Amino acid sequence: MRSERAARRLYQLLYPFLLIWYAFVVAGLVAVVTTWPQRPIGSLDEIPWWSHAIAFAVVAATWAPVSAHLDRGVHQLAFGQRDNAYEVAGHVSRQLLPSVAAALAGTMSLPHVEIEAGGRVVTSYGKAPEGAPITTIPLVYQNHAVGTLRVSARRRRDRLSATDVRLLEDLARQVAITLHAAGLSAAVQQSREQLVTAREEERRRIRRDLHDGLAPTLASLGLRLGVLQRAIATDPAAATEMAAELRTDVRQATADIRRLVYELRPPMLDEFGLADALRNLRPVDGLSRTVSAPDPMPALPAAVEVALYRIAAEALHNAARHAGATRCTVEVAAGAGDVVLTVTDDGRGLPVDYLAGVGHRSMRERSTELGGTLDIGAGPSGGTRVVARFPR
Amino acid sequence: MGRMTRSTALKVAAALSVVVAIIGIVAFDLPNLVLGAEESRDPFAIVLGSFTSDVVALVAAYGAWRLQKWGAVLLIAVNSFWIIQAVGSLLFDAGAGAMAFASVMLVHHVAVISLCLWRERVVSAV
Repeated sequence: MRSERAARRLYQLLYPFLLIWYAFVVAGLVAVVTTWPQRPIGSLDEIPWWSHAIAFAVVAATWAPVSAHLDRGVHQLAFGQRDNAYEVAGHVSRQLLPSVAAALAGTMSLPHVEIEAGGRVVTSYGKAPEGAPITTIPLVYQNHAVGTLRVSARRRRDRLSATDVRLLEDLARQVAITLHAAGLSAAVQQSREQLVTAREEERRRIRRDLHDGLAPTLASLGLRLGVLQRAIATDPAAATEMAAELRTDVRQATADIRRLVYELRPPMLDEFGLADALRNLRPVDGLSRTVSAPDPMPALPAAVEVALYRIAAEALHNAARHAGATRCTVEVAAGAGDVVLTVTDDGRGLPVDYLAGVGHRSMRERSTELGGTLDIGAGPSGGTRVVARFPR
Repeated sequence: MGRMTRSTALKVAAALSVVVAIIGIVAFDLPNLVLGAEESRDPFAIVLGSFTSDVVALVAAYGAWRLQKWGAVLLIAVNSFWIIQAVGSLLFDAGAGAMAFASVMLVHHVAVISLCLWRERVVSAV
């Protein structure tokens, strides 16, 4: 608390001091320039008044960036990096495991400590003496093995004592928690990167569609409209023919826009809601469909709605195309904390040597990226059942 | 900001300040102090002020090198004072040598203050 107060006081003193100091320095430097022909000057009185006016203008013009820069710098100096909480968290987790390994080695006088997770060495401290036996202790967090702790004995052919091993097993629980936390931090970082990548990919796709598809079509339409305008007076028959062609092109452009809009978010979701959008999904050849959903449908996040819609569409497509199904049941059930989509068909079911294809992977990605789960398996009376579960 | 870590920035600032403080002590303070108040080439108050600021700069540089907050704050304070000296020298001193020295010092002091306020960014987690 005291250090917090001291940091605040330091910030409150240093920031205005540096701002005032900045103004004085600018005034001084401007004075150096404006009195250059007479230099060296004898006293400050020889500095012309307009020098201060210029200095004032310079300070006013640069005030915003300089004060912001000084503010950030002084804030960090006074308070550390606490204004960048996520960065600090990442930094801490990166430093944590090496510190834990070093602390273990230091407190137990172990020459070598190594923490392994996911088949790779996450951090390692010291060097094992030649011939010293290595003790391996599994790192378990909530019944899940998250890694392995390996420590070497202190000397050659000298195993660790039972007390040492018991203590290490107790400490391993703390190490497992740390390792789990570091893994979570890495997962969050990876997830953020994936989000950014996905957003950029989507932007690129939209840009490409607009640039390569719609833009040339519209430009061509503009040119041909000009030709049409001139042809109306001179050659009405050709103008009529051209107008018909233009109409076809406009229809094509409209269809392109619809496709683009559909890919962003199926318009039916906004027009009809999820239940009716599922009922109005593009008919699949030879597949009759029964849709049941709560009425009224509870409000769902937009991303979950889209995911449910796309997964249902993919499941129906697979049922008709790969499973040879004739009937399909689509059921949406909303519980207190989740929403479940179940698509069941009466087709051949999954083959024994079934390998997930692009469609299944896409469904799984859609569910996992929103914190949901996807189960694909045999239906209760044959066929295939796809169950997607999302938190609400 | 840049890729340099805050600890590196503070160590660079400390090293730069030590160099300037030692130059100040050896080239200006000690000769004048040896001559005494009566025979000093420059006003003795200025000599004493300069010597004090150089010593404070050395102490501050030690603190900054050890990544102590007080060291960075003290370095900012000393270099702010030195900037005023440099600007004064640019205004009042004659001769190209004095001008050049004051200009270099001005850049040095601004650099040291910037390094003390260095804003470190941690780019990636884990």
